[in-house]
Amino acid sequence: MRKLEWTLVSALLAVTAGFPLYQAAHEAIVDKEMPHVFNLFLRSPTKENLHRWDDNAKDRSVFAKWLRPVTLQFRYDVLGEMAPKSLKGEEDWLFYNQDVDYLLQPPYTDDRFYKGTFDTLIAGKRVNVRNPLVAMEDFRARLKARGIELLLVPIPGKPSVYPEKLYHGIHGQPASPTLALLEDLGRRGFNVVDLFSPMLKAKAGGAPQLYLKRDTHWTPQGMEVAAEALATRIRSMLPDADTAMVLGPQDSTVFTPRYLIKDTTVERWGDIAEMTKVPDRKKIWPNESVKAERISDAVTGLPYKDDPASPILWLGDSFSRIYQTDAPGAAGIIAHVAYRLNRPLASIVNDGGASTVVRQQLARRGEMLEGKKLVVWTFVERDLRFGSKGWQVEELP
Amino acid sequence: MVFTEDVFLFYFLPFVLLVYYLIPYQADPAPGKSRYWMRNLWLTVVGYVFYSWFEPWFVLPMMFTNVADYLFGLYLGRDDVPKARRKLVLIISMCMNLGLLGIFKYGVFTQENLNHLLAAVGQDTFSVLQIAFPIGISFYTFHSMSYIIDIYRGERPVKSFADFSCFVSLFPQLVAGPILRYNVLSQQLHSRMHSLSLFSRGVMLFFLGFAMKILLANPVGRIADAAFAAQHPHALDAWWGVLAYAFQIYFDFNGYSVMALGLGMMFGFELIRNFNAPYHADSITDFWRRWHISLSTWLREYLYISLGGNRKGEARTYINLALVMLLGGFWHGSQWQFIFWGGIHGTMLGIERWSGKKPFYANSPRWMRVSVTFLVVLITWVFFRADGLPHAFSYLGSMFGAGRPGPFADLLKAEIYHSHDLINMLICAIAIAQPVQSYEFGKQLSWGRFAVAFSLFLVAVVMMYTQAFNPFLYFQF
Repeated sequence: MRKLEWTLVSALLAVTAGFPLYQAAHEAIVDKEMPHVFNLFLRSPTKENLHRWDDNAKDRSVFAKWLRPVTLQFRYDVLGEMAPKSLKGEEDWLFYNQDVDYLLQPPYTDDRFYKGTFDTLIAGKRVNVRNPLVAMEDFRARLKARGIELLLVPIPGKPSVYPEKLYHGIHGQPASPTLALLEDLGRRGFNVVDLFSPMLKAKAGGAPQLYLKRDTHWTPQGMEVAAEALATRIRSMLPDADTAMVLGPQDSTVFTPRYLIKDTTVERWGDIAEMTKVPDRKKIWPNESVKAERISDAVTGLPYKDDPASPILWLGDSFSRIYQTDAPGAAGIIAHVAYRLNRPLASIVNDGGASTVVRQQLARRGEMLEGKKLVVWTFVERDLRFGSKGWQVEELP
Repeated sequence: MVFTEDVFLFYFLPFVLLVYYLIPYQADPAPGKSRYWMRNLWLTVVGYVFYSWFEPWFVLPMMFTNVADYLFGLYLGRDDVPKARRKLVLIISMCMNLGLLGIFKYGVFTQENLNHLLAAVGQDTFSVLQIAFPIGISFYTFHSMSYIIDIYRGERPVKSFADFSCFVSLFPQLVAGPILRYNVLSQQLHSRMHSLSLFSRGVMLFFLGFAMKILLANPVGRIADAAFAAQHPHALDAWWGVLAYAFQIYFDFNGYSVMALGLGMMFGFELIRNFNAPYHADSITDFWRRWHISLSTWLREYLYISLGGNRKGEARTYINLALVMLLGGFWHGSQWQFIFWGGIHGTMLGIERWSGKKPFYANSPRWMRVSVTFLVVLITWVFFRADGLPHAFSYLGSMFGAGRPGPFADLLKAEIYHSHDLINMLICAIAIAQPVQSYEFGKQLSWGRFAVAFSLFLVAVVMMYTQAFNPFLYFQF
């Protein structure tokens, strides 16, 4: 029995004391650095410093670096389990957990939406910066004071358009909660664009795949459906703009095209595949090949370029970045809307930051608002719940 | 700091153990001093370090409670203090402890409800002052209160501040129990056994508790989180979600308690067992003998008995029972749902007491009694887990098919019925249904048991690196 008791104690110490000793020796001998454990005593014991030390210890851990990929691969191979941000769907489709949670969880009109948040006092009024309407109302008022119109454009998430690719047993085509928001915004006099109807109509009409299988974003085909709807709406909002803009590229009799369009092919790997953290993910999921259309200047032949002096300012997230600054370049929604309007736009794009960060960037670059007639604010619908930094009220210069 | 993160496992624990066993003890201590006062002092210091890891300023209210109750205890322990003054000191100490708890834990709740009242009578509401909640305050406050009450009832106070602080801030039980009563631990603070046998049994329990949290509680917790976060889930999904929560809370809290017991043993303490197969209970009365035993014992000894227990007639007994359960519910959280949860359990206990401490289904076979009891407990867990009372009722509505599921409710299935989810739930169900409890498993050592426990521990350590930060559920209380 005594032997067993000693074995138990040794087993505990071998794991709990053996690890830090090995780690310290590795850092001192292999990395030729002071062992991280001593860093704990070099800074004052504030919460931030303690937690930073903690995080660094995890990042530097030799065992973690070795064990994490092995375990993740094992869990995928044996149980089909992936990192929590990603969900496996049908026919090799992958979904982003937040996209699905947005559809499942209560909307902004429900008290539970605000769980764990506090009201903020702004101009003597108690508001909650998680409520998107507060920021939208405020932003519209600030723009209006400068004579600028606001157009709000929530972009459908992948599961709103392809729920059956996540769960085959879903009944019909359910309506995204964002449609209720669009109605609410309409009642409040906002200019909005409904991208859900044209997307679902295109899907029902047998259009090519509108979203990438293993990415959160749309395909160039899905993007073009949105670009068409947006260009139509923008034309209707700025009737006094120049002729080319009003007529659009379809009217060839009086139209002088500013841009040319050229077919190309893009290989996309997929941000959700990356999120799975499965070490062999590159082998498991191949690249997806999609056809895109690049927009280039009709005179110079150079790829589409923004014009900061444009009367239209575009605010957006990674849906505005994909194909635009990513490969193949100048083939994203900004270029395609510009092509349809036959004029360049100005834009501020921030990945995952459409709810607040783009407006913060705008506040820092006040000159961007000079000469503007319209601000197009696009954001993916999941940001209504999960937007980075919430929906803060931002001053404009 | 959390037992199941690497900073605790690989740095804090081995260092604390090493220093603890290097500190000599006094074989023949001076009168009034314990043999282990230096070791107790070390445990106090590391208890504060452990606690401050969450947020350094959290130690301030705990330190204040420590100092104040130590002084109150010394005063109460004097033989020349008149009875009336003893009572006054007791009341002051209780007010101080409950006052601190009230400010930090119930401050926001009180303000919010005051606002509701003001709004109801058409008055202007005010901005709610947000107060940070120091983790585990309910636990150490109860420890400290038990000390003062025990001294008031005749126990001798500790002379050494280190010993008293050690009792309150003993890190294995500091933030989530088991809730210690001073009269249980007083002797051990002075003289306790440090033996290889006790230490190794502690290691065994620590291995098992660690595995319970990482391998069982965390994976099924993800299912519960998804189901409870959904707006209007389908009935089956809602039941699946609350079942997952029942498993999660048991393995999470029991895992923590078993680890606390194990860690205590490594330092020579024998803390009290907190769980005894609660889901094997065949009545609600039986459930409360098996679930969070340290809390029910504390409430019985210090609240139920103080209120008169069953000595003041039948009606008063039922009132006392209801009060204890309501306050027990309120102790868990400053939200109406916890009061409701306590109220339901109190009502069930009252009904069972009325029928001779037996449930109305007492004459059915044992498997049925256990199943019905589990069903009742399962339904009450909805109140425990929901985001407020309206959500609890809406979730119960979903469970019983009232209202229409949300338009995308089908998608929840993609989140909660993966093959690994089914396997995890099945393992949890088997672990609960089998008769050997971790406490008994860890008590009797054998090579086979060691192999099982150590393997589980190693797998859990490996899994720990692939799980997100996942604190224990009872930290919030």
